[in-house]
Amino acid sequence: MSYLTETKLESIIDLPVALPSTEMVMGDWLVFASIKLFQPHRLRYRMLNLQLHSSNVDIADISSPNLIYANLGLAYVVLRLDYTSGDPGLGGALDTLIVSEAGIVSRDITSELILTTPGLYSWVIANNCQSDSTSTIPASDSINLRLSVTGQIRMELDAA
Amino acid sequence: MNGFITPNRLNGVIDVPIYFAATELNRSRSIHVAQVPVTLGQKLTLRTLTLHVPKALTASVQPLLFNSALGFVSVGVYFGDMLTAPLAVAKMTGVGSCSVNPFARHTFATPGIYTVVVSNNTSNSDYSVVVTGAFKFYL
Repeated sequence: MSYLTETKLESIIDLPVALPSTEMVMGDWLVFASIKLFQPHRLRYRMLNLQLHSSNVDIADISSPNLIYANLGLAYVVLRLDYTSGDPGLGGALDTLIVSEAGIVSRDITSELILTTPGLYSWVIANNCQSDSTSTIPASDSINLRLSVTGQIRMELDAA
Repeated sequence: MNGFITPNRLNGVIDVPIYFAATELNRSRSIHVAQVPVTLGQKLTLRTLTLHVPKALTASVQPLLFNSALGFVSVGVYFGDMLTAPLAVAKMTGVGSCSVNPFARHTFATPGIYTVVVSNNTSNSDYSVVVTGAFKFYL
């Protein structure tokens, strides 16, 4: 492993993957970061924090019938390649971070994801809640969540 | 300059984030995404700035442009207050994504305020827009 040079440092850029605290309406999703990757560039993805601040309903009342996807918690962030539109919870995501209660969840920082395939990498955050007649929460109520994301991805522009 | 980096040198190099989550950008509107003042002896470089237009919010409309050079939606680095000549720009003429040329370095050293502005260059169309990038700032 060689020492870091001025030229190498110039080609390493830390890009933000972040969303300020935002109210997500039930079932809604939002693209909050997109990075276009060309050959021979490389992305190193390690860090992402997802925080569920609050909900307009008691979070303890949200039960499994209220979840659109049973395995994706109350809200989630997915990384998708060449995402244009459509439900982000469908299969094919490159990385997923799930929050199932109020508080912060962090991506495993020791698990580095290296991305080299050219294309558009997009981070999408989604509220995974839906109304349900069998739930304690009235079906007429919307389950809105206040969410924020803080993360970073390293881009190596001159990776060989 | 291609010497090895010392910790002191590393402390003087900062990546300044440019980020703008998907936001409805209405016709003829522009939004300041980031601002960086540069003083004498400092240097700012830009190599990556992605513009993503996931959705056109006014379907079946032929967009009418204010400035044909800026596409329907653009993000650019501007010097000063005027939205006339971007120093670096990424522009879209529809839904999709593009980036400033990452194989070329855009270097800004003239003292002043550099602003990243995303703008809707049409008089009759609205778009959802995402911007992600970073400056490298040499203090």
